[in-house]
Amino acid sequence: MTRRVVFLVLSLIASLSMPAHADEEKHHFTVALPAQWEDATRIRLVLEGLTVPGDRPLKLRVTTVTDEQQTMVLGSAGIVAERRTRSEPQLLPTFRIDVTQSLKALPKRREGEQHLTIEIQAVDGRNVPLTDIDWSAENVRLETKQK
Amino acid sequence: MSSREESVITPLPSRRRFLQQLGLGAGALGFSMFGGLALPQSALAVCEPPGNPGTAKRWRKDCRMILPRRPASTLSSDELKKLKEAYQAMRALDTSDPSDPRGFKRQANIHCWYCGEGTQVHFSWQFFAWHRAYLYFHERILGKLIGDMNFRLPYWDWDSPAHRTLPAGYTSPNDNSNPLWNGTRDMSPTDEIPNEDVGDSVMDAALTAGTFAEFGGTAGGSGIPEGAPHGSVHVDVGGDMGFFDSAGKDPIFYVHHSNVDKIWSDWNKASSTHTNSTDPAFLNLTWTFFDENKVWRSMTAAQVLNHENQLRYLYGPSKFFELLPCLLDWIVIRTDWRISKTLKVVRQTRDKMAKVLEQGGRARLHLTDLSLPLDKSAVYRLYATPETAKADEGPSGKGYLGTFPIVLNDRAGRHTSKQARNMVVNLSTPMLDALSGAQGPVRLALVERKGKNHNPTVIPVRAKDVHLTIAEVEREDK
Repeated sequence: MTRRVVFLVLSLIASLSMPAHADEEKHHFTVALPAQWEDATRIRLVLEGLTVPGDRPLKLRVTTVTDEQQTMVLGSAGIVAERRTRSEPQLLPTFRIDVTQSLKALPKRREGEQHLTIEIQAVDGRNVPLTDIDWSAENVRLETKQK
Repeated sequence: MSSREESVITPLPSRRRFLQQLGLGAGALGFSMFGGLALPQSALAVCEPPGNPGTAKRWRKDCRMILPRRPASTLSSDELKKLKEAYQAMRALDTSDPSDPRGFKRQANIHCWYCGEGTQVHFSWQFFAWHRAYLYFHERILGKLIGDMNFRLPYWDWDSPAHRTLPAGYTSPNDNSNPLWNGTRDMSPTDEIPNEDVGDSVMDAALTAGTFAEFGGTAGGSGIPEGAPHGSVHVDVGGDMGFFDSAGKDPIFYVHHSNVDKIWSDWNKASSTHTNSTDPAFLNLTWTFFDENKVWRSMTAAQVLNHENQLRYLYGPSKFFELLPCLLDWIVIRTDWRISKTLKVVRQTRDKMAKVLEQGGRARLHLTDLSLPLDKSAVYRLYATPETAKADEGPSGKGYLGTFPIVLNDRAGRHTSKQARNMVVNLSTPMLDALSGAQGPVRLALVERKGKNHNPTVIPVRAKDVHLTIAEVEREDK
C-alpha cells in the first residue's frame, strides 16, 4: 500500500552549498521551486550530506526574505549533538525540514518564478544564532509530495 | 560524585563556549585548573556498556492493567509525589548500589550506549521503536521501586500551547532537592519552547507523513519528526538534553520521549493507511535492557508496535485528530417515541439543546433498532417530516438529518447480519430547528437516495426507540 504513495520529487536542482565561514552567520541557498509546488500536500527542504559539530546541539532555522524585505521563518529542526567531548563532526546523509505551511503562506510569488532564495542559520534553543560553529550541506533542495 | 551532586553545578554555557574556543579537549576539562570553574559531570561521563550479563531472556508478555500515560500537567499532587519518589529511589541506587542496573545513572547510560558509543538508534527506523522499548523498561523499574506496577510515565505535551514551559514538577523546587530537576538545562522554568519548533505546522507535518518511511524513517535515514519536534525540544531544553550521551541524565528526557512516543501512537491512529513497516529487517530489530527485577531481557521492534495490548499503556485522544471539543458527559433526553412513534421536543429541551450547540457542545439524535428494507444495498436519507422526505432536497435542503447505508453481504443479496441497526445523527442548529415540531409532533421519514428527478417513496421511520443526547463543552471559565 505504501508503495502506491508516489513520492514525486519534481525537482532535484540543487543550488550551491557554501562552506561555512566564521564571519558569516547564515548560509544562503537558491533552491528550485518544484513544478506545482503550490498543490503539493507536503513540501520539504532536504539537506544532503549534512555535517554539523558533534559537540554542539543546534537547530537549523530556515528563513527567506520576501519582496517586502520581511524575513519569514520557513521551518526549523533540531539536531542533538553526540557528546560534549566529541571532536569529530556528525554526518547526516539526509535531513529533512518540513516547510509546507510556511511556504504556502508566503505572499504570492511572481508569475513564473522558479527559484527561492533561502537562508539557513544554526541557532540554539532560544533561537540565538550560533556564530562560532562550522556546518555544511553538500546539497540542498526542495522535494514535494503530490496528492 | 553522585548524579544528585552533579546537578548542583550551575550550567555555564558561556564558559563552555570559552573552553571550546580555547580548543581544550575533554582531558583538560577534567582538571580543576580553573579553580571554581566546573562543568557538569555529564561532560566527563563514561559511556559504559550495559555489562556482560550473558544471554538475554526474551521478553514475552505483560499482564498489567492497561492504564493511561497522562500529561504531566494533569498529575495530582499525590501522583506527582509518587513520580518524585520513584526518581528519588532510582537516584538513590546510584550511591547505595552503583552496580544495580536500575540506578538512574545506569539508566541514563543506556541512552548513551545506544546512541553512538555502542550502536546508534537515531537517524533510522530504530528511533521510535527503540525509545518505546527503553521507556517501557524504565517505567517498569520506576514502578517497581515504589511498589506500584500501575505506575505509568507522564508525558510533556509541549504540542499544547499552554504547556510549552517545563512541567512544573520538574522545576519546582528548582534545585537539587527535587529528583526531577537537572541543573544543566539552558531553559529556565519560565522559558517556553518556541512555537515554531512544536506548533501546529510542525505537528501537522509529523502527523500527516504518508508512510512509515516518511514518519519513522528507513534503515538508513530518519523520519520527519525526529528532527522537529523531537530534536528541537532537545536543543531547546539544552544542557544534558542537548547531547545523546547525557540526555538520559535529565528526567525531563523521559517525559519528552513519552510525548514523542505518543506522536507515533497518534500517527498510527490518524489514518488507516498509517501502518508501521512490515519489513522483517525492521520487525526483527532486537535490543536488550534490564527489567525491573534486574533480569537481562531482549525485546524486538515487533513487540512494541501495539503499545496498548503489548506494553499495557495508552494515551488520551490527540487534539489534532479527534476534533471533538472537550465534552462533558453525555446526557440522555428520553422521548415518548415508544408510545407515540413521533418525536416531541418540548421548547425547554429545544432551547437547552440550542444553547449547548451555540457553546460548541454536541447534540445527537439516536434511532435504535431501525427497520429498513433489506432487499438491496442502498443508502437512505433521514428527514424530519414526510413532507421534507418527499421533497428530498438532500444534505443542504429542508428537514434533512442524515443518511444510513444498508450494505448486503454479497452479490447474491444476502444480509446475514442480525445486529440491530442504530443510527446516530450529529445535530446542527438547522436540524434542531427542523425537529422543533412547530406544527405538532415530528414524524421522521426515510427515502432511498437516488439520482435527481426521481419520485421518492417515503418510508415512515420504524425504530424501537428514538432519543436525544447532549454534551456540553468544557470551558476554561468553569
